Amino acid sequence: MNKIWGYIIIVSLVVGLFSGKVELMTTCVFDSAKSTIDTCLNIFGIIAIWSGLMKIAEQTGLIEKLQKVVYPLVRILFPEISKNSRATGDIAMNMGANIIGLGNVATPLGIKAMEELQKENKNKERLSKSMMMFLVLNMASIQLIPTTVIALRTTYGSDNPVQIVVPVLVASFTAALVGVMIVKFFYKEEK
Amino acid sequence: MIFVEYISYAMVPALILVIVVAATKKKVSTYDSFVEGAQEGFEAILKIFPSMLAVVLAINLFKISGCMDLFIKLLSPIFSAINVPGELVPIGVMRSISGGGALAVLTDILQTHGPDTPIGLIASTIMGSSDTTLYVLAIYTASIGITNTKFALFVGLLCDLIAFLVATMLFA
Repeated sequence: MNKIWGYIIIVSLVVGLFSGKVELMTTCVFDSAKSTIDTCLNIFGIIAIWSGLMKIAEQTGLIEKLQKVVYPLVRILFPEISKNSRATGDIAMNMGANIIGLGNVATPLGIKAMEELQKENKNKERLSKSMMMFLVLNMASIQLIPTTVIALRTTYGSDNPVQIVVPVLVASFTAALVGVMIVKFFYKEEK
Repeated sequence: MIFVEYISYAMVPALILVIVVAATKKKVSTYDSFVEGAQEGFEAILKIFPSMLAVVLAINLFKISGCMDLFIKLLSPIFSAINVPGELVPIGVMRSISGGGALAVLTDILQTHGPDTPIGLIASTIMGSSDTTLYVLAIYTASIGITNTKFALFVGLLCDLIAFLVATMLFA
């Protein structure tokens, strides 16, 4: 990430300077700050609400129950997670939220899951196998109802806005399958 | 489909109800727990902000400087060699690096080509079948202080490419 970030910035600035976009780039720097704050503010409330509700569920013992139910399923993809880890429940809830198209709910649950996985991670600076598996599933984003796309298709007068539901599932499932396989077979745990 | 949609909307209220009912039954102090949890959420967002800013800044500079257009132009011949229409390359590239950017490209495609044309259908499928790889990677790793992401970026981008190609083949 460090190398890529640096190169993107350098190449962009050099190309921009030579093609006479100095003014645009200056405003771009300030706009980026503003738009990031906006995005953070937008998801901030939802993250807080969700963390609050999850706290109640945790102290009620609901999370523990869910963990026991989904553990055998989660184990298939995440054999490294120990039986008592809270990560199991968080992963299951994150996947559930993604599948029904609630991306905003999925993010805070995903962060929680990553925190739990980090507790079992031996090298705190390196991505563990379970973490990478979890990231791949989130990046491929398997969803039953791609809400935003359907809404947009309706706006532009599609005769059948939901025609893409099955293709979306096929495409993301294929991608996820390949991703999962790669992590499964090519991630070597360092000693 | 309507049934599935109903379930997706009913999920959130139903879940909140289940949690609060169960907590009240067990005499858990619901209000205090909620406030305590929300405080933790606040800390999480503070951890995410810097890395999000870094990604947004780099992507915006990349777009505004014209590098993005250049990059897309460079990729187009490769994709047209495997019979992928050139109109689809921008959304393919955007999908991985900027959610808002990809949405803007999709809007443009739906406007000019129509949502029910092959191009419109493929672009919609690409949009729905993947998440913004760069953003997911940055947020989820930054929140817990991971600096070495191994080959996660590679796998993420490869998944995007596969989803892209499958979407194209489905409507070819």
